Amino acid sequence: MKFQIEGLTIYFPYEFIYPEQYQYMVELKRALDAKGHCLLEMPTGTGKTITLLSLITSYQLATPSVGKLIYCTRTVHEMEKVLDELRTLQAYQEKEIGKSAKILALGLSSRKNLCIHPKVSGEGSRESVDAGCRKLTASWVRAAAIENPNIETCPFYENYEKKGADALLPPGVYTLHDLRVFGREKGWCPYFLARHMIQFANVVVYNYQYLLDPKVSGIISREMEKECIVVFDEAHNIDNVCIEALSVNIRQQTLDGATRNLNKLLQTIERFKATDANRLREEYNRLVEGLAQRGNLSASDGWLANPALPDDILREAVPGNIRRAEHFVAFLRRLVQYLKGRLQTDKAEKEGPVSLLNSLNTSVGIDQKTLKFCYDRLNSLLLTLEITDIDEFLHIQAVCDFATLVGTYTRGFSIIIEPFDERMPHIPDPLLQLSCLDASLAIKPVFERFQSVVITSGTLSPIDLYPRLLNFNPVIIQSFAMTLTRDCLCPMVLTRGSDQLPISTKFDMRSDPGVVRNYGRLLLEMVATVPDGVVCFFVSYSYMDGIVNNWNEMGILQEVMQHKLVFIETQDVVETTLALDNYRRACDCGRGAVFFSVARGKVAEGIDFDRHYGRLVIMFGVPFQYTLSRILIARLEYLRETFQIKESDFLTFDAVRQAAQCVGRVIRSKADYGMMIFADKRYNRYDKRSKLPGWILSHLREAHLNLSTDMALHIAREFLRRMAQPYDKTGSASKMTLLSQADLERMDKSAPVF
Amino acid sequence: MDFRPSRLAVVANCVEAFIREFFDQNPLSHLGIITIRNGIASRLTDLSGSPEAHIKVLRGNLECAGDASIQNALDLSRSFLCQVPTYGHREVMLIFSALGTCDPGDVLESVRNCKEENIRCSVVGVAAEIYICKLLCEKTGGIYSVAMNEAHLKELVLEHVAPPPALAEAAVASLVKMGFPQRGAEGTIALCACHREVKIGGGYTCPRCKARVCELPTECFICGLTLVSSPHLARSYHHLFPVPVFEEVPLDAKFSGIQELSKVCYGCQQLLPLAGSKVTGVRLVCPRCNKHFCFDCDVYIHESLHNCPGCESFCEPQT
Repeated sequence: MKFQIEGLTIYFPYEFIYPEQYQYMVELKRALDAKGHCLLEMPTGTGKTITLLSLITSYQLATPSVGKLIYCTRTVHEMEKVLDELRTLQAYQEKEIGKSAKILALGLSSRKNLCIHPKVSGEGSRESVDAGCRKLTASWVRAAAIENPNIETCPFYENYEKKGADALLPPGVYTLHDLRVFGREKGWCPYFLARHMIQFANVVVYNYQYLLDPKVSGIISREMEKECIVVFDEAHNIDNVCIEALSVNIRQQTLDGATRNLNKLLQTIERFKATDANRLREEYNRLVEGLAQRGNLSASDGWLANPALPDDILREAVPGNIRRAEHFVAFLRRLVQYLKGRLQTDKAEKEGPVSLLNSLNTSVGIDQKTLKFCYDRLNSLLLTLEITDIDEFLHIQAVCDFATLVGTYTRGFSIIIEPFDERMPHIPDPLLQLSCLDASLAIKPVFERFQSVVITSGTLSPIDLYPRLLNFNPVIIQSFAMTLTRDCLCPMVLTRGSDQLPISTKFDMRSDPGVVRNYGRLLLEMVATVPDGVVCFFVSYSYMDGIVNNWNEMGILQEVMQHKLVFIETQDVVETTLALDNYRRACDCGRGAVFFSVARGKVAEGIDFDRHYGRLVIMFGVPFQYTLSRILIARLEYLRETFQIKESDFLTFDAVRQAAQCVGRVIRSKADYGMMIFADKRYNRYDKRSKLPGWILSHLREAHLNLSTDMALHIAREFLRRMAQPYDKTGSASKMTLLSQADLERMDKSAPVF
Repeated sequence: MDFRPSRLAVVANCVEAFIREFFDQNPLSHLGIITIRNGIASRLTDLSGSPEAHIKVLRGNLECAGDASIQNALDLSRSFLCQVPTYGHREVMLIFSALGTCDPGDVLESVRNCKEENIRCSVVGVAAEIYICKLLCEKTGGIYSVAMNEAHLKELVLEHVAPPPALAEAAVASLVKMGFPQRGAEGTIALCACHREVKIGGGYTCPRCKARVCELPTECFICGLTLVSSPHLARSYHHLFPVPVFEEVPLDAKFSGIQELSKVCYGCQQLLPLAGSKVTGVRLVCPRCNKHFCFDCDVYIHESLHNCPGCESFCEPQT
């Protein structure tokens, strides 16, 4: 259908549109008009992706001055879904407007997902594929191969290079799979082709990291123009992604590995000195001129870029004491030695970057400015020494990463050294963490650089906290409700067991046998009432282990297994995938199954339990973070001092958003239905409950608060029966849930509607 | 405890009502009962025609325990139903109180087999919507419904009494040998073939072997001929080829311009309302033969007669 929003023609590929999608478009358009950032919350299952794509591509068509759409997703799977939607949209637009609407849209991922070289693509990890690729495509390897035909190169890359600037993708929508197919057909390397084509594309879909992680964004996203529209989808955890992008962990193994790396580097330097001293001298001269002139290294070799964000570092010359290769190696050796010394501690320590710098200066004579350049200096050295198996040098890279971050930022970071893991206090496992405390640091360049940044997700509540955490000023903040033809959501807050004893995972209550039994009875009663799939979320792995053990001893687990099969998420990804697979099969064949999983785990974040795979989700307890964790304490302190966010506010916000994220897994579309049980007495308190997203809160009726198990059971039975009845999908006239083109035109005339 | 006095009692009552209603409406059809309990499907009664016999056995076997297995139930019913000749409907109705199925193998395989054998499976759920039941109904073209309460359950079960309309093209014409026995005169004494007793009066005589049977419809116990009476046949027949629903004809002038409106009802020759005439009421048209009928005739044709007089009188021999 085709309709107008404030003078802009929107092409929407479906016959009908939900009212909330229309409102979403209106708000989004206003944000784009204002050339500002916006924060939009809309429940899952309302077609957020197609709404975004439809509005933004229509906007691009109408105003050619707008740049690319950069769509960031969290997983490859989501990326493919977005591109599929875009393909539908594109086909529709082409039908409506003709060939002029042709756009180029492509997904970009790591070499691991795009490589088509028969041998390299078979490698297991991302790093080994990257290294395998470099071994075949680095400029010096290719230069050597011209003289010596025995040296292997990648035929796809060679073909691509031969074509040069003529290697182009015809317009269209390309998923990763399409890119690989196209690459095979033409004999071109899809990875480099995709990277090359980004600058011509209208829509680019890639991972968060490509924008947020400065190590990657420098190479991939440098070319993007200012007028681009950036979308972060499923962005409820964006602050954590930002923080992870700038945090570094250093263990004993890292330092040992770094020492080995240094020895190897030194050997290579010696060899070069004997054979090709010129190269080292050239590098020295280049460094004197400053890093900005690095451009004279060929483009395909610029594989890593600068994690330090300030531009001035690029213009400054590298300090004299690390310009010579052997000096730099000696410098790093001192740094590694110092860090090794710091790890030899038997009590946990925490300090800020300033005091660490001070201590570095006094004990080993390293100053801040030199540290800042570590990362670039190392990369320059690795290029000069023509090192291809870069996956072996990860350790020293981590150390340099650390050094540069410490040298660059004096605020927003903290260094925490822990001599052992909290869970196993007698096994020494020292860990030095450089932990970023301020999520706004990583995302700041994105906000500054691009005209419009859209942050959207199904759960962004409380929505006013995000601008404070990310330190930006959105022009539009809006949360949309879901219009439903029937009450297909049934959230309940369960505070008591059948025996009226309160239940909670509060620390002093969680091991109480009464609480454990009541939780067990709850599960048991529910699996006997709810058909097909039931998902349970626990607050942590250790808590889940404990309570499942207890249930086993009490015989509750055996009774549960009479009704449904039990599957458990573990920290092992393969095991969990297998468990999920079998869980799905058990649901499909009607046997019924329960999945035990952990909030903040892999399952809670990325796996959907829609339709019969999840008719009920039980959230056992409030998933607070481990409040004794030193990193968390440091972050809370920082938030209080810098952004005036109270500790308890942040903790509750974080816990409730995790809980909402978990329970939101069951509803993926409007035709679906599911129940959500929040089983903890603390959910009944207003300060917790009110932080749930609006679309859950609006269905949480007074009558469903403060329930005991038997009451919940009764509600569940009623709900399941009601939901099994046939219903009218379009909704009655009084409660419009689907709008046709005619409806919209009518609304437009009687504007303003919203 | 959701249904009172217990689910079992409520369901049993519904099934009993269903059996009676079923034979009332489909006197020629057969029905058998299978129970699923303890993971096993067992045959309670064979496919046969006597409602009383079914109900008696059902009443004597009321209990429930253990897991339910849809696969076993489907396999067992398939083994019975595949003997039914192709002109008959093969239907399975499952009244399902469990929330899952515990199967020895792949239940989806059984669902596929049912589909291949053209067995239509319908499920009436007692507790909640179950995915596998929904899938089963979708695949085999049945109806899935879930009961809200006792009354609703009965309603849903009884909905299944009327067989689905057969597609006239799909039905393969084949001849079935049937006998229409004469009812014996009152007061005659004869040995009945079904009970092997002397009965006075009533009863029917098989037209082929002259044996005596007590009830219709049945199969002759001596020569195996299917014995029916003609009202039975008519009642069974109408479900298979239902009379199309008549449409109301608007009385305004526009319509009458295209086609001359008949003055009287084709069925009863009473006057029909016309634009401007004094006769009140509605005017209905049969979409197949375009004859016009009054409201009373419409009710009579659809609920009792099951034949449209218009279509019958203009029936052209098929070529």
